Amino acid sequence: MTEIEKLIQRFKQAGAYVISNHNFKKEGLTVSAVIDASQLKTLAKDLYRQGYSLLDLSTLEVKEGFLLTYHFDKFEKPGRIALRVLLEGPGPIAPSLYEIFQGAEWHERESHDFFGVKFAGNPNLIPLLLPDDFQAPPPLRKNPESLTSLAALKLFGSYEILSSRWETIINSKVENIS
Amino acid sequence: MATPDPILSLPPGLEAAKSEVLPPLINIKPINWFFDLNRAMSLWPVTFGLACCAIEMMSVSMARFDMARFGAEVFRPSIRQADLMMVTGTVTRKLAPTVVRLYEQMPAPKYVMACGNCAISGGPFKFEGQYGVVEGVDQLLPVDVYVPGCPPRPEAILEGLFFIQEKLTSRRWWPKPQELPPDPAPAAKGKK
Repeated sequence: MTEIEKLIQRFKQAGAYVISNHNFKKEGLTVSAVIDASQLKTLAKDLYRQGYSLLDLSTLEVKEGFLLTYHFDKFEKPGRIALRVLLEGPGPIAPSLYEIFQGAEWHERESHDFFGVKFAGNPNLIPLLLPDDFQAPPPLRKNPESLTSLAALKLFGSYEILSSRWETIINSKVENIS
Repeated sequence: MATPDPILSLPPGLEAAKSEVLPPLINIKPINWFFDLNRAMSLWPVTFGLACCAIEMMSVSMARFDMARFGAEVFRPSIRQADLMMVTGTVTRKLAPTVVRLYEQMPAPKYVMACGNCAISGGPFKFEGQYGVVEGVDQLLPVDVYVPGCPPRPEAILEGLFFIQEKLTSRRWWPKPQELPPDPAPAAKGKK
């Protein structure tokens, strides 16, 4: 069993919603998985034990909510993987990875700056890039009408869907993006 | 000195510099002229760069363009020893209070040069919905000379220095650069 197959098995065990295989040369990723926010910390801890480090955390506002993408990689050999978490609802809250990867604290602060995503467990969720006394709402929030749906983004490569909810999300009809 | 434009509105939470330059205590014209001449020939800029225009400021102080020939020789690391503030680069919303504070710490007489399009008007960062950039440092500080360019050529920064010297002594001290030959007529616009 290769390392990637082991990872996929671990993701399935953790109740991943979607598992995708990517073409590394084209997309820069080997495997990505959409997981539940409650599983994020345990999976990150597993990855930490296997020698992965956290590359970045990117946030994307889509019609369904906020899609957080955590990229992980190893120093020894190429094989970037991604964990994605979809936060639905008005007050997005994700668990903080601060206890596992200390550097995550800054990524989370940035995400909090620009999108207003809250991270439970981050000890210092103050503005990182914006001024301390910034008064406007999070500046990268979009107009609800101009949001794209997740299905239109084609993020998932060749995927395997393990949840009915995500089947409707990914297979929903893509509207024309003006 | 120019005063901050009241029409342009500052982002909330920002305040323009409050310090003002008082008239000299002994107001005798020849003495003032003598002091101004001395000031003009030894302007001390502050080592203070905000973005890529600062690279041109470094270039202008180095051997090829050699600002020292015109008196602005000593770049001071402390604003309290300087009398020329070259605002080289984008003044972000986050750094703006610091820029104002630095200006207020500078002993008078003090001069401000806005170098580059960002410091003049926000430059490429001026668009609807931008949240991070002060659109023109003249909203915060009284600016003496604007040096356009993105970034300005070192020669342009030298010209800006000459303008400040001219402002102080009401004459230009250095020979004018040679005129360039006129541009060739622009080619007629053809249809693609």
